Amino acid sequence: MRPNSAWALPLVLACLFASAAHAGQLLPLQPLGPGKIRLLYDAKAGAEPASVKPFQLMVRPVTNQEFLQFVTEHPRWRRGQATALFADAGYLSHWREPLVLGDDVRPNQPVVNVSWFASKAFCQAYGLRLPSEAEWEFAAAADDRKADARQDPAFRERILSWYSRPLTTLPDVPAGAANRWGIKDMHGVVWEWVYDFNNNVVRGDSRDRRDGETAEFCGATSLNANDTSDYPSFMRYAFRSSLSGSSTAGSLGFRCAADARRPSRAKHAEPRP
Amino acid sequence: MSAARNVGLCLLLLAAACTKGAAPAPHTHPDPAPPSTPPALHNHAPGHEHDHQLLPGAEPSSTSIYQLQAALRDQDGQSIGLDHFRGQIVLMGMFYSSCTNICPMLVGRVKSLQEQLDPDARKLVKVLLVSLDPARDNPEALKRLAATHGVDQPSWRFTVGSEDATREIAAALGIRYRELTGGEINHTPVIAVLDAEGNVRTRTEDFGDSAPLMAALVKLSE
Repeated sequence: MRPNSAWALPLVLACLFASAAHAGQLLPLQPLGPGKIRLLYDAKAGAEPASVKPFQLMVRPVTNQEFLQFVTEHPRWRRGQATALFADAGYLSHWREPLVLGDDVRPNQPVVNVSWFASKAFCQAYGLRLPSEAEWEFAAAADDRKADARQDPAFRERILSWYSRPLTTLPDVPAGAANRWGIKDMHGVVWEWVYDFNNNVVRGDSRDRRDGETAEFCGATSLNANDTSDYPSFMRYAFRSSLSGSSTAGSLGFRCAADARRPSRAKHAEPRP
Repeated sequence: MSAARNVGLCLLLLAAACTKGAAPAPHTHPDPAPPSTPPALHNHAPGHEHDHQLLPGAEPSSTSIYQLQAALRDQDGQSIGLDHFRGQIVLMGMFYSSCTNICPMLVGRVKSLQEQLDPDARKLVKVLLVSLDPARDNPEALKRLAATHGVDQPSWRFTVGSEDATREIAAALGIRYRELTGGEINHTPVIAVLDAEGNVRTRTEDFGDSAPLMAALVKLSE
């Protein structure tokens, strides 16, 4: 070691810890799981529910301010720079300029008009990832007491009443109360991207139907919704089915996830292998 | 203070600490995407951002899937890029080796499209198939599949990438897939025609209608 660098290592470690702490503050994560979640379209009716390993999820959706910092640091994701493969024409269209939110956009509102590719890149930039559909649905199934409140008519009714409301000004986040996992705003603020958004092999538009369509899908016969009364879940699956990787919408945002912390050593979220 | 500035300050302090022979801190974390690049962990020091350039030809209007830069392995175990056939006409689809239902039909259909072209056009058209099953497909399985279909040749590449690359390629091609219990993968059987720069000129999920694909192939090979 060089003579005057002996104190450099502790300094660097302290700095890195401070940076990691900052990242945690910037993107607050909450541990949850493990558990099981029965997804709307399971392999077949009566199949085992999907297992969800312990993971971490942002307490609230990513905000305009956080996304502004991301595009400031990563110019290729600015509006006008991100190519059409990665983001459609609506990308960040509510901001006044590529690096200016404007008077009508508040820093702590959830960012919307972001594509899957851009959301994924944001999470990766902070050592995180998008949650899988199973992880997202697992977190979203809980109310303030039960891990899975989806059979509760009042819980469904609250979600459906949001789905049926026209989009108005988005609130600052976090806006709502925590569910039993400490996660907020899974319902009632914005729709959210999941990593495997493109996993529903269901035509979103029945007008596409043609003779012999069932021959188009491996495992086509297994596509049975296992709980047709869970209409809120159906709405989300149908919405995801309508999206492509470059899609953006004024009501569509995201939050990041991470694998569970390792028992020791790891001071911050581990990147996906 | 932003974390990036935080790290920048750290680097400055470190540089001050290591005055003898200390090289400037290298910029080791490029922009996180376009995709399949390792994630950057808040390590951007202000003033060190130098990865501003889009890829050659990647204008904001670009739809080229070659921007994905996915790393693949082919049936010969070679590492190839998604843009292996850049500059040529490509028939592209996704499949998996253990698929017994739709995938053989997909491969057969691609083969049939190629055979319908006149010999000069046929030479210009390459085939790139990417596995939807990175956990189980490997070069040996791909090799067997290519041999089974009688297309183990340089113009046909059966490939597999990382899970993340697979998800991104599927997203870019509008392919939906999900693994079912038992290992079967439910997927839409998309066949796409790419031009020389990797733009999807036409795509179909409809096995009954080859006309749009043939029309695109003929037009591009003129």
